[in-house]
Amino acid sequence: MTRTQAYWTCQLGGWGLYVVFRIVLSSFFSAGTWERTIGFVVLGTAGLVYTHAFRFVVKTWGWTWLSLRRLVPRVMLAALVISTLSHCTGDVVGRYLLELSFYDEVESGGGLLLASIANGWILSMLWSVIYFGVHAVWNYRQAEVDKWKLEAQAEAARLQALKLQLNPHFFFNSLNSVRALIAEDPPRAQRMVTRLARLLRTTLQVNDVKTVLLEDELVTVRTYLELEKVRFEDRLQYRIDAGEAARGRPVPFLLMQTLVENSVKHGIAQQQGGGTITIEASVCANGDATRESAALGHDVLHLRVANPGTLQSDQRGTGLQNAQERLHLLFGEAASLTVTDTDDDRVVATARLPGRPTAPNPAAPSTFDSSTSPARDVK
Amino acid sequence: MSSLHTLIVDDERLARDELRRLLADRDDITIAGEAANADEAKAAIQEHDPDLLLLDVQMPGESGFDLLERLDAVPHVVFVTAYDEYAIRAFEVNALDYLVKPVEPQRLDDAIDTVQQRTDEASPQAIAAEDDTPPTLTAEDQVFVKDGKRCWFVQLADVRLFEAAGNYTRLYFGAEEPLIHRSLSHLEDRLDPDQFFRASRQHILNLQWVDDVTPWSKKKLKATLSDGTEIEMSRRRSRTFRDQLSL
Repeated sequence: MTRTQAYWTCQLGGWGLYVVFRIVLSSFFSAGTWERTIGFVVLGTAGLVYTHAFRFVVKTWGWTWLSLRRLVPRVMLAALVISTLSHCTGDVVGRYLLELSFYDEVESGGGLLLASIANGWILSMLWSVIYFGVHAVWNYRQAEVDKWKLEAQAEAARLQALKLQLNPHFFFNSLNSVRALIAEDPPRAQRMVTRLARLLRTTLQVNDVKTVLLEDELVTVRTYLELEKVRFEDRLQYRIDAGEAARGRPVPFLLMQTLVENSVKHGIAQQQGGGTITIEASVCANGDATRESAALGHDVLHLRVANPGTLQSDQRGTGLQNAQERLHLLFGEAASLTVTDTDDDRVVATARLPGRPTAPNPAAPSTFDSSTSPARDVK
Repeated sequence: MSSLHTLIVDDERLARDELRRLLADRDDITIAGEAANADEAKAAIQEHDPDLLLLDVQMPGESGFDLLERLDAVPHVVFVTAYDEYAIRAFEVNALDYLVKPVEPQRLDDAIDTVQQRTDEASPQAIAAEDDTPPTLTAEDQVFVKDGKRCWFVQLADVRLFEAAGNYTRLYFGAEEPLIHRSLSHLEDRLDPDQFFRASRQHILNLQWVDDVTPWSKKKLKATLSDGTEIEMSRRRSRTFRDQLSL
C-alpha cells in the first residue's frame, strides 16, 4: 500500500466512521430522522474536505519536519480554523441550503456555537495527532534508513581511500620481487618481507592517526623507498635532507609518502634510465607579508619532493587531491601543496605548513593525540 | 610439440628472472632473449624472431600496447601485469591472455598450453616495422589493432579488405573496421602478393574473400567480396589481374 492509498483509506474510513458514530449516537436520544442523517453527512464531508485542505497546507510548508514545539501551536490554531469552517459550512448548508427542519429545533445561540466549535476542534486535533503521529513514525524509519545508507557510503569511501593508500600496483610488484628474491638472495628476501609488513601496518592505521612527526613519516618513506629499490635496482636513487628543526614538526600522516609514491610512479617508473628522488625539509622564517601567509605563523615548514620527468596532466590525480584536502583540513587553508615543472626537467612537489594543526574542525574527525605521542606505532 | 621461442619483456630484472625460473621446467619453451623496454624488445624481435612474447604492460617510455602497435606482425602474446585496473579490464573485454604478478605457476602453465594449441593452427611471425629485408606477411600472421578502448589480434586471413585513409589504413574483418597507423603502400610492400591483391590506390583485397570478378566498364574489373562489398579495380590493376589469371 502506498502512502497516498494509506492516507485515503484512513481519511475516508475515519470520517465515514465518524458519521456513522454520530448517527447511531443521536438515534439513542431521539428517533433518527433522515434529516439528521443528512446533517451529519454534511458535517462529515466538510471535515473530510477541510482536513484534506489542511493536509495540502502541511505538505506545502513541510510541517511534518517541524519540531514538536513549533508544530503544536500551529496545529492547535489550524484545528480551530478547521472546526470553525466545518461548523459554518454545516450551518450554512444544513440550515439555509437544504433547509433541514431539525436546525429549527436547535437555537443558534452562543453557547451551542461554542460547543460545536470545541467539538470540531477536538476532532481536528485527533485527526492531527493521527496524521502527524504516522508521519513521525515514517520519518523515524526513513532517518534510520538514511543513517545506514550514509554509513555504508562512508564505509565505501574509507575502503576506496585505503585501496588508494595501499597502492596495490606497488604491493603486487613487491610481492613479485620477493618471490624472485627467495631463489636469488634469501636473506634479502627476508628483509624485504619485514619491510613490506612494516609498511602495510603503517598504511592500515590511516584512519586512526591524523598527524605524525616528520621524523616518523620519513621512517615510512625510507622503508618504502628501500622496497622500491629492490624492484627498480640501479634505476632508483634517493636523497633525504631534513634539518633537525623540521624533523620535530607535525605533518599530515602519509602526506610525504603520497608525494614520494607519486615521484616513483610518474618519475622513476617512466624513465628508462631512472633517476634520483630528492626529499628536502626545512623550517624557514615566514618572509611573506600577505594576510594569507600570516596564517602560516613565523616558522613555515617547507617540504619538497623532486623527481626527474615532466608534469603529466594525470599527475594531479586523486592521490594528490586527497593529500591537498587532508592538508587543508588539518592545517587550515593557509597550508599549501603545489606541483610544478622546473627548468632542469624535474617535477617538484612543494608543501608549506604552519607550526601546528589548526583547531579541530567540527566537521572533520579530529583526534590529535597522535601528535603528542606519534612515535607509538610508526617506528 | 615444437619448442616455443619466447621473448620476455619486462622492465624489472627480478621479474624477468622470475619468469625464466618458472619456465625452466618446461622443455617446450626456449627463452630466446629478454628486453627491458619497447626499444630493446623491437631489437630483440628483429634478432630472434620469437614465437611468443611474455609482455609486461607498464614499462618506462612505451607501454606493451605501444610496442605491439609498432610491429608489422605480432607473434603470440601473453600479457603480464602487477595491478592495473584499466589494463585488466581491457584484457577481459577483449579476451586477451594475461597473467598477474606474482605469476602463479599453474596459470602460467595453462597460458603456455593455450599458446601451444594455437600454434598448431597458426604460427604468426614477429616482424618489426623497421626491418630492412622484411619477411612477407602471410595469411597466418596477425597484427595488433587498437581502436580506442578495444583491441584485437587479427589474423590476416580474416581481413577481407584494406582501405587507404591517409597515413592510416582501415581493416575490414568480421563486423569490425578499425584503423591502423600504417599506409596502404607500406602494407602492400609487406603483404604476400599471392594472397593480397592491390586493386587500386584505395584498396587491397584478400583474394580468399573474393567471390566474383566481373567486367565493370571497358577496361575495368569489379570484385565482389563475400560480404557483398563491391570494389572497383583501377585500369592498370585490372590488366594485371587479367594477366595473372591467364597465366
